[in-house]
Amino acid sequence: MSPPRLLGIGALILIVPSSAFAVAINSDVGLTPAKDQWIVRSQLRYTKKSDDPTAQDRELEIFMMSQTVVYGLTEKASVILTIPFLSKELDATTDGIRTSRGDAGVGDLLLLGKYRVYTRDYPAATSRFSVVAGTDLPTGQSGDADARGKLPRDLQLGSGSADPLVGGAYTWQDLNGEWDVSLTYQFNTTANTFEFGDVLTYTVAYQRRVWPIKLPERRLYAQWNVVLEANGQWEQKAKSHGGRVDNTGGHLLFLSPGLQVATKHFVAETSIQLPVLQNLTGNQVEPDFTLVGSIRVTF
Amino acid sequence: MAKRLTRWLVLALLAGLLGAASDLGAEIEGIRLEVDGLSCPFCALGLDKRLKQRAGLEGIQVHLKQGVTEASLPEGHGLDVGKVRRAVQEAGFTLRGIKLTVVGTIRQDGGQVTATSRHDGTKFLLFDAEHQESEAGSTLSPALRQQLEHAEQTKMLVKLSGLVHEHAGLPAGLMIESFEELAE
Repeated sequence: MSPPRLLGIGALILIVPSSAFAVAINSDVGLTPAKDQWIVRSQLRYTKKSDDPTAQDRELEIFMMSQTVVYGLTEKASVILTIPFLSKELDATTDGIRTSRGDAGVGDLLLLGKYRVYTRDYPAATSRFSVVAGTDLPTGQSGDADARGKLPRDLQLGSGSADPLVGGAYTWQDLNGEWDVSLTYQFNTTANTFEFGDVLTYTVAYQRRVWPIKLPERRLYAQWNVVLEANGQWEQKAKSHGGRVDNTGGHLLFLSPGLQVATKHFVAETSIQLPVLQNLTGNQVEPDFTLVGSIRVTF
Repeated sequence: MAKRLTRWLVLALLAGLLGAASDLGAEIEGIRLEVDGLSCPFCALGLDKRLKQRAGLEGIQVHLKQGVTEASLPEGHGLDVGKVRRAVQEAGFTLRGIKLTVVGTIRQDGGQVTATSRHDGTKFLLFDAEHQESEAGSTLSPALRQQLEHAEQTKMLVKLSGLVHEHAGLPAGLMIESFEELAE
């Protein structure tokens, strides 16, 4: 799996769940903001990749800061726009010399529409299902170069193509915890005779309130949750000039423990994604971990 | 010393007058919304804002564990049950019920008994929570009807509490759970 795609998926996972609610950190949800409600979500994400099976011993570091703005068109429909800012650095050994190359700037914007198709509310609990559809936009540079020539695809900031996606998300939430299950499929398209493979993303997440241990009978309270998520990504092999590209595609599964605090005005959360399954095709660098920090405010 | 005493007396009198004015404003009080689907602290802000903006409520207090939101009305403002329901809906939740207390007067129109809130004029059709509708179509038990008629004849202020429901094209209904005659 090539790093730009993986990064894109990471962005997608983080973007879709943006809602007014105390949702999981790395998962999609069925909840949407209220009508005319704005949510701004800022996220920092650091990914380290290594374990290169080749003699190049590649190591890739990716910082991503994304700003997500969500607006509730109605109580059921919302639009989500995410702008990622990326910084990438790749260290590799060629002919015995260790070199470093990198790039930084705006990545591909993601524009999504989300619609809640099922709602069942109970006293202090809710069950919801939403569908989501949209596209990423080729705003990130895909042909950047440095003094040594054009940067490899791993380091480009964008895919160069507009890639539509569809998905769905289910949420069960009560005062003690929350389940989130989501699935998205991205249809990657061709840019400059190259096409990244389609990507299937799935998440099962559970969060449990740990504080307050006993809920106060009256009033609102700040709530601390522990979170455990399973985040999976499956990607087809890429295509170039009509043929399959080696060393692309595969299946990754992360287990992601995290911590979240939710108040009336903001949600702050942190998580670490640890790979538990890395079934990547050919010689690819493998993710070591991803650290995530995020804050959401609503107004 | 006498001057200080006088100042305290004036302040106490002013405080008393302000308190009385505040009481006069509270003709619909203790508004209690039973809101389903509200299950996290971050959910509450959207509800809070919509109840203020769309339904004109104030003093919003969300009690998550109870699934209840308490609110009050600004002085002289009436309650529009439909707007409250829409505000809750727009916030993404389900309004299961509204309970409130109204202070006002009783009136009979064509056999239908209504209560009108004293200062804001909000009108409620009255129903008896413990009475099944009779064959004659009465929504009130004979005992409660008698009490209400007495209040109407004597123009006595009453205090009614209960669950509110909507009627298309008609004033909201109040399912009376408690009734009290107030001395003027």
